Amino acid sequence: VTENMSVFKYQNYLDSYENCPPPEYQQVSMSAFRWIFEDINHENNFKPVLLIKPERINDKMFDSQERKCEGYALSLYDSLSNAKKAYERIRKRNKNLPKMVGTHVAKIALAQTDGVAYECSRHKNNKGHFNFHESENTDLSNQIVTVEKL
Amino acid sequence: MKTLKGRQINQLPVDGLFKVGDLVNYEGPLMSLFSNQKGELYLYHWCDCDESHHRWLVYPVTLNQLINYLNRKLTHYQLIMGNRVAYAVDLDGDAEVHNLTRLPTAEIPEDYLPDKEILHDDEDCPHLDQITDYLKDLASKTSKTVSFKTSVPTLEIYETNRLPA
Repeated sequence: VTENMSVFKYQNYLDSYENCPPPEYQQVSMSAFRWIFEDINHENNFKPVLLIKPERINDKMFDSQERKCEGYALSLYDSLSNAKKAYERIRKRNKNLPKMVGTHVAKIALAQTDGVAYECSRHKNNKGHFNFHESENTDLSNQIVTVEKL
Repeated sequence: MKTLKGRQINQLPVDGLFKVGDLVNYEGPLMSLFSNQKGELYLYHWCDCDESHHRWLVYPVTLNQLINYLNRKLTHYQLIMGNRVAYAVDLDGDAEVHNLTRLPTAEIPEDYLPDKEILHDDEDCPHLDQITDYLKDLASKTSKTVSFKTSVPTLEIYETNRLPA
């Protein structure tokens, strides 16, 4: 457990892995951006991928302790521009992407106590993407500042 | 999901596929490379979903095609349309196959295909090293010389006994 952070939202799962979240994850205070569904109350908007599809823990994507740990984090972007660019880039390849991740982008006000963040090193050239492990009492849906269509 | 203009079949015309890695990933695979002991190569391209199933377009590629794709000399669209037929597989949450359709590539719905100009992008590829290592190994077994030139200059990989001049 990281300094200043007693319990994470999915601590029961994180406890299964060493260094989860890893020590390089840090508290941040910033605006972050996440792709969401138009319905801001959609159940998957702020749910980590391994909770949406728990069986995917056996997928090759989650082939290490580090990756499994990442599966309980949320993907966020550091700017509206980077969130939009990544969405457009992937949507040109996978045109039905909106069915899976939504059609809108939310600006979220992250405070120091909300969790810890880290730029995921496995992507070679990150362009603003980072992972975020939420604190126990964090509910990012309550911290949406604005929502706009992608 | 859409009804496809193809023929229902019971199994893919290839055995023993295992996953090599993801070529595109966002909180999960969107384009993945599979292979088997014979060295046959198949790409799985995520194309659709409903509440209970994900649909993947599956098609074979040759080693040369895949190397040219990774070196950004072939587009993703060209990889798919280089085949006369492809396969659409509907998988449930447990990765069980529910529908398997053999369809002419000309009948693939437009929204299942990438834009025509889309090239490989390292940024979306979390398994680049293991994929290129696998292909280099495969190439060495067929006495082929391979070089990969990623979009990031510092990651240039030359695996050959003929290093670039």
